Amino acid sequence: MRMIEAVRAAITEEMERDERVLVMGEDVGRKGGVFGATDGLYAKFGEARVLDMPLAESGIVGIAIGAALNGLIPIAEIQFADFIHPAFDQIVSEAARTRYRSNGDWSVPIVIRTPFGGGVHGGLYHSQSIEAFYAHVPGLKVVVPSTPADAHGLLKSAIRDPDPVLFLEHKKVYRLVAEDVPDSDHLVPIGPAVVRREGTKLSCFAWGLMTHYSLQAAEQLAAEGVSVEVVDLRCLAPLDRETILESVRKTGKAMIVHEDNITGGFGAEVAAIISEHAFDSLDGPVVRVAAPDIPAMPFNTPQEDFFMPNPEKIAEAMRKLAAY
Amino acid sequence: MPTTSPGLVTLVPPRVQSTEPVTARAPGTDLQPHTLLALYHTMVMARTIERRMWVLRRLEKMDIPVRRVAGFEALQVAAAAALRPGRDWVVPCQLDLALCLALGTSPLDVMVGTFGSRAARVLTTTAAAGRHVLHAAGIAYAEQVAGGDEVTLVCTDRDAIESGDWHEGINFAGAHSLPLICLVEDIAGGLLHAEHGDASPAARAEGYGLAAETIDGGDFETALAAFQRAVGRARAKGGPTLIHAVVVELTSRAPGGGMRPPEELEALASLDPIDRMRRGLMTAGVLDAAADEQIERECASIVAAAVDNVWSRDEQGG
Repeated sequence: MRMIEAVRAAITEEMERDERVLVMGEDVGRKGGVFGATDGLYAKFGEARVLDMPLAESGIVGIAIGAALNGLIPIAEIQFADFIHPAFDQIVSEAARTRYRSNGDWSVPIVIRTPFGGGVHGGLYHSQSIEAFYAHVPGLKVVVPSTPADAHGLLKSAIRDPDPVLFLEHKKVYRLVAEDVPDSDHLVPIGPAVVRREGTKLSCFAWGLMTHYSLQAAEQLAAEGVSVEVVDLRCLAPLDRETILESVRKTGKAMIVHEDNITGGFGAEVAAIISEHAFDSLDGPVVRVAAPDIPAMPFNTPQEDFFMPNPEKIAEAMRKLAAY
Repeated sequence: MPTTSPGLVTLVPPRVQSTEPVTARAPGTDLQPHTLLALYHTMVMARTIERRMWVLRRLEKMDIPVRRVAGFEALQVAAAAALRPGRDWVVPCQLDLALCLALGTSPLDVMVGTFGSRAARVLTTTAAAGRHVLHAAGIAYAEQVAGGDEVTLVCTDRDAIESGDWHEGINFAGAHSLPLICLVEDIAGGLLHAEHGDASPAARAEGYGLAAETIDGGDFETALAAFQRAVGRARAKGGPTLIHAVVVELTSRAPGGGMRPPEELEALASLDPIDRMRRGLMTAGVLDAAADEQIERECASIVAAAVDNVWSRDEQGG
């Protein structure tokens, strides 16, 4: 099963399990979503539970919040992460804050799903990585699966979570890999990271597409005799600090790879945690491999290649850090 | 037609357009005398709270914002009277002291702005104008999906209708014919942050497929009749309604800036919704002067006790 199919399966299973679950978003109904994540759901569950929404993202999230306050469990789809910004206020100031603001009286059990990331010639407005904006916000969970099985199990956990979850699906990973997905009762808990490849010389932390690129780079380094540990963070909020620190204490060197531009990216937070809590274990600088600080991902191939981290860039950074 | 006094701002702006004419004074209500008295009590309580908060603020004994309600009391208790408390949903804004009191929020919670209660189906309030209209639309959509006949009331000030979220929420409510009532609480001649175009709130709502009317928000019977029409429409699956309620601001501050002259203040007093309600109840034989004084004393006592409660908590560091 590929990741897009795993996402669809998770939604379908949860809608079958609990009639309070519904999906809402642009083109999620008759069209089945631009990537097909909700394909077939309109016919199966009907218009009231598979709701086509106006092209107004604040409305999509705000109405999902209201429906959740009145007992439903909405899965709001933002068609591309680049377009989530009109809903920033509803996500940050309302969904994430409602439990705190009401002293626990109200909660907002919504999932906001959105495809993010580049490398598919999406250009300036269909390629952004937005995780840093939202991982900064207390009260909001931010989940970024990199495999079909994780997408399936984490999305089911997100739907059953009593608080808001932002669920980021890398669009290039949708059809990049296929694997067996556990049966419908299998949940992946939100929070724990997973070590995708064990190693001894340096630790590489990544999420989404960058997990796959980091694994490819680690494979190159293994052929050169350098053992690299690759940790897929999977969840940026809450963040599994223990797994990060445990890995760094073992290898003594740390690298963070992300596709978002480097300044203020989530890698800075991981680097700060390592510096603060595993300083004595470090045997080299904490390194970030990330996109350059330019306003958006370019469209044409040479410029997109320049912007995106890739296995070669990551492998080169690993070599330098291993040799430090 | 609403009263217009020389030197005062017109209660209803002349360019108002709506699906129904500005509502004339209703002939009466079907409420029982004890209900009317309870609502009047709530109106007096709300005004007492606001006045007490102003005093505490001026004495620098309180640093939370004063909750403004003067002029809106009749409108808000009329809304509560038309709903089924605890079953229908209410999404208030920061103006809604009297509404939340009428729905069961304690005077102390109202004073500190803690309006929300899940048990009472009164949503916790947000600060930004218009944002909560989307939540109300979502709540109403969930009710529609559930197939019940519960109504959702969302209240906003006049400025909120300029926000994008207001338009997105009202558009959704109209498109899905939701059981939603949007109350726009407007001060006649009040200063707007910015206003664009000539369309009144009612005309804008009509554009989105809502029934809409503009009313004299200072008159209890008029407001009650408007809410009863809207609630009836929503329960009968007839779709959403916008009620644009216009009241006068009962302060010495003139709408355009500066202070009101004494004769204008005197004329204003005749438009005070509490005075209008009191006169109506006395004429109907529901209230007399002694009972009115008793209500004022009770409200003052309850508010004083609430303030003492807060101060004693402060002293205990609670």
